[in-house]
Amino acid sequence: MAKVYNWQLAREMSYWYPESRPQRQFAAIFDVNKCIACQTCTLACKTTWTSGRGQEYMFWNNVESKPYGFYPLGWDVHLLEMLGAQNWSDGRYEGLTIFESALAGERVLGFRPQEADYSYPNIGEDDASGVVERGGYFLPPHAVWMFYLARICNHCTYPACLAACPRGSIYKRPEDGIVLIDQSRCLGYQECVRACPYKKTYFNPHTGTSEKCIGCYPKIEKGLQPQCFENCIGKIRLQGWLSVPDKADANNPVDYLVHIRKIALPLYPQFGLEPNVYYVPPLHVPDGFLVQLFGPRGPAAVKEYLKAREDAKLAGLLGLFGSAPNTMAYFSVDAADATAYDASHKKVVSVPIIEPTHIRPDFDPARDVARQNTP
Amino acid sequence: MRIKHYMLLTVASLFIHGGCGQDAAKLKLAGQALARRAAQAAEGVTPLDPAWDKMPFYTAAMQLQDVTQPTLTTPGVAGIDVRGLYDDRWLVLRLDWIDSTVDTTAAPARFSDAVAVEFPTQPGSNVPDANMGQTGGSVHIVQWKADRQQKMSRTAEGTKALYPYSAIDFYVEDVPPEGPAREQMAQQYSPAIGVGNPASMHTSPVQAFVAEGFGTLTAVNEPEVRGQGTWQAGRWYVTIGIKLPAATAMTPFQVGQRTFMALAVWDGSAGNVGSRKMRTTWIPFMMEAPVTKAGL
Repeated sequence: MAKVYNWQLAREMSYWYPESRPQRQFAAIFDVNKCIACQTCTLACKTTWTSGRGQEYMFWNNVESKPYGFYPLGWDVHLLEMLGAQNWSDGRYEGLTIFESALAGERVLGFRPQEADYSYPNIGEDDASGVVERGGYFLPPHAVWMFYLARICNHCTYPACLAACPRGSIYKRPEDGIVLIDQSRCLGYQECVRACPYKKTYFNPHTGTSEKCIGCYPKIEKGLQPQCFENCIGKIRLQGWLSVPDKADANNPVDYLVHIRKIALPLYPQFGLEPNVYYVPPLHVPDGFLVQLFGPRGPAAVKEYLKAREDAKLAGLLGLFGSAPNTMAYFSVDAADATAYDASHKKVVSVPIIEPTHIRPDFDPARDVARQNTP
Repeated sequence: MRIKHYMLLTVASLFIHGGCGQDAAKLKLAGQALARRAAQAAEGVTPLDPAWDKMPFYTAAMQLQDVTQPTLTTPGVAGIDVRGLYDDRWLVLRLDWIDSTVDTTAAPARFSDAVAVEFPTQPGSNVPDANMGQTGGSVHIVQWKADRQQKMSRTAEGTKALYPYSAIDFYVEDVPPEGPAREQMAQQYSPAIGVGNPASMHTSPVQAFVAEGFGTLTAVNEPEVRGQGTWQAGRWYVTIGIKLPAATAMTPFQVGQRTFMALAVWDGSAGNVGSRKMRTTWIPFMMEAPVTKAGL
């Protein structure tokens, strides 16, 4: 085991290989509050990559309802229970990661979902945390809550799948940090399935190998965002590049939201993988649950996010989500518009900070008809 | 006791050690006939050929793979009975062991039963590490897997084979008409098949590999190998045939030359896969020269 630095934990930790960061790191931000669980992302991925034999049960992208949705069943709560106490102190993680708590003879603390655990992709869908009492109604803070959690591979800085593969069949691309399984080398031991705490590697029984989200790298190489980003109806996603904290660039949209405003947070940072998909955490969720999923900054991130109403730069940046198919490496916000740029600083798109309001009279005199306010 | 230290792998010695007490010349003839069947079975002497029962065998004691992570922590198969014979073309081993469960499918969280035999690639007593060899010290490994064998006989593919009652609308790869376009599409959706991964190509129940240490296992086409497995009454019976190289080749398979083999076995029901296996250290053996009439 090597000693590596995990900035999400604010401390060193043990990892199977020495620290080796890519030239630039694929990163994404999902604004949970905008997700409507339409699963268009899921289908965009499914039809692009996993509609072959042996891939039927694979969802490289899925959207599950929290707190009771899981794919596969119980993927996170099972590991949380195995991991034991996960305490934080002043932003530093005091518990053990899945690498540090590996059992004797293992590289990573993990478990293999059973076959039936993949049989309920929609379990818990739209289920709230509890029953709304008769006469109850929704006013913040919500006593009863739920939210949608969209998930892809986190293309982690310290991937557990990569650490666990005894054949070295999994690699992290130095040019973009995307984590891939070498399909010519994998022999299907399913160690990666056991190790990945997010359960985003899948065994293909037709080919006898394991497969996973490839970050749509053919699109990334062309400066385009992955399929699940481009097709997102709710425009909850933005893909870009993440710097390490001490090199954060205020003009980089991912750096700005992750490092500077600290609004976007990693999912289960306590596992220790330094995942690179960041979430704007959901409103109206108890602080304890936010901390469990997103670490100790969860409640503060929600408060910061709510400032967007009065914060033009933040509002403008959030408006860039889903506004163009291109990877957004830089951004700027002026008085009226937010603009995204690609890696060569070429303009990608501009969006208004506040959408213009169009008011149409309810009667159309040219056609002599009343306009219906329904589609 | 020589038999404890060496596996005697000749058709003649086979019957001598079988101790049938019959006429030696007839025994030798019988042995040759069996050898021919072996070459077939390399083209598969069937694993349950009654002739195997008359052959001497060596019981290899298995131990946990506890050298490299991930390890196996719960003991599994305790021992493998090994028999062998050879002729001028094939070396054939029959391996059998107790396994109460038949695991012929690799699926999510399901693993296949398997067995493997390992040899140093070079002759001599300076053998590489028995655990998959080492850098500069390569080993040949031949593995039989129940799921490879099972897949060869399946009529359905993929999920339909595993879950016959599953409902599948259609596969995109089936849209193009039969021919190159469809094959190309199928490879796109099964990339491991497209790149010829040996784990995906089920043309034989056995696969030969070469290795130079943990994590280096690499499929090879030489030596040619064949094999077959049968489960009966709580026991797997597996033959592994290895085509012998030309006599002039540098090979550990030289008649009268002491060499080594090691074994590994996987019980799918116990979650054995990859390095989670029971294994042996090196077992010395010799392909004895056939006993001639003059030598009897």
